[in-house]
Amino acid sequence: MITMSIDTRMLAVPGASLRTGWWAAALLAQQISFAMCAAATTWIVVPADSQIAFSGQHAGNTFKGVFEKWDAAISFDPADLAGSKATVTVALASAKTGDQTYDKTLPTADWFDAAKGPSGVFETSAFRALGGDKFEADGTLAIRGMKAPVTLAFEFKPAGETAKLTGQAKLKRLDYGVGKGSDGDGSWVSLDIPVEISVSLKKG
Amino acid sequence: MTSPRTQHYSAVAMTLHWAMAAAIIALLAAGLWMTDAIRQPETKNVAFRVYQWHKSLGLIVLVLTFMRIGWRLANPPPPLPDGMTGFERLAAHVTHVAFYALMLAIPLAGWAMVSASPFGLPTIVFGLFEWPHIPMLAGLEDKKPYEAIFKSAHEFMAWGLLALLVLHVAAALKHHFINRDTVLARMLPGVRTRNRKIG
Ligand code: HEM
Repeated sequence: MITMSIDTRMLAVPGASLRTGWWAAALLAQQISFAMCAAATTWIVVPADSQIAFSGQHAGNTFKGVFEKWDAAISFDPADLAGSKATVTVALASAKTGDQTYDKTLPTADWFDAAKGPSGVFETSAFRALGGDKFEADGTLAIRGMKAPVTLAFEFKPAGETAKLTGQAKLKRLDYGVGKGSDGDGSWVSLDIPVEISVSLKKG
Repeated sequence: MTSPRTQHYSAVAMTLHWAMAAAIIALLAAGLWMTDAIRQPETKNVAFRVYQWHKSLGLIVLVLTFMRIGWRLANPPPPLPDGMTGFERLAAHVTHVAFYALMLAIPLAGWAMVSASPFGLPTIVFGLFEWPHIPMLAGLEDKKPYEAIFKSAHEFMAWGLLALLVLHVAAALKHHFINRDTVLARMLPGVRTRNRKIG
């Protein structure tokens, strides 16, 4: 890896005493992890072939929807999970279920409150390999100014310059106060909202 | 002898009458059914759809009521049979005015209730276009008490309409089978009023 070579050059800084040598080593370790962050491959989302979908139940009916507008900054390398990082920003008002009754309700104050906080942001903090193409990302999702930890389980299938990422996370809408006033106990809209993502990536 | 033509209601009046009669009976039945069914897990999903459908049809009745009142003011109905007593005439008049009042007030109360609902579900008329909420009510801070008032009014008046409907149908049948006059026939498309007593 390129970063490694940069860091080995730094290691070669001569003339340090043993004591400062330790400091240098500690500093170096930090340098490596910083450098590795930047090192994990940067991926660009191919919007036409990517979606973030959600579903749930309302009054006994299953609804499914997608966010039409979102963006993600992803650096991910299965061989460098510590240096991998993803931030996904979703335009909450772009939620579309195909049912106007829902689509017009979702952005309102008691649900996404999109007028006050237009985006939901998911930011990873750590990745875990589960074997094969399977991984998990721990992160934090913030909606309506409320934050909660979320684990995204996903499969990452690289194919040359492209990759396909599919995953799912279970969200609890009340963690973010979504629909708390209208339906705070889930008697109308399920409290669990599964989210499924399917993202096509190309190397950036 | 008065010609059967002038004894009949106009085609517009008949169309409005029967279309709205069907709609109102459907609205009453749907309203009474759905308010229970929405609380049962097995029927909840169907009931939710019936609610949306009830709102749509109810608003159409509201619009038709305005048209109907306009039509009626411009086209007075044929006169009542001569044989009716003063009390019968008054009863018929009061019932009909009450019908128009309720056909306006019930859907307006429904619209107000939906506008004041904290849930804030929009009304998409038969899934086609959005019928706005009444802004004054939709913008309230604490809507719940207003929703409750309009809900009670809507329900109370709906029962009143049902009672009126029973009276109305009974009176029409009495005119037809007991008095044997033209009152029912002249609202029925294609039925000749000629062989019946005019007065
Ligand atoms: C002529 C027109 C209408 C008639 C005859 C009618 C009749 C009824 C009846 C009989 C009920 C059941 C009352 C109960 O047992 O609680 C009901 C409930 C209801 N109606 Fe209407 N309705 C009409 C128009 C409307 C309109 C225009 C709307 C809204 C835009 C509406 C919204 C509702 C709602 C939301 C309920 C349920 C109330 C609850 O949950 O308790 N209705 N209606």
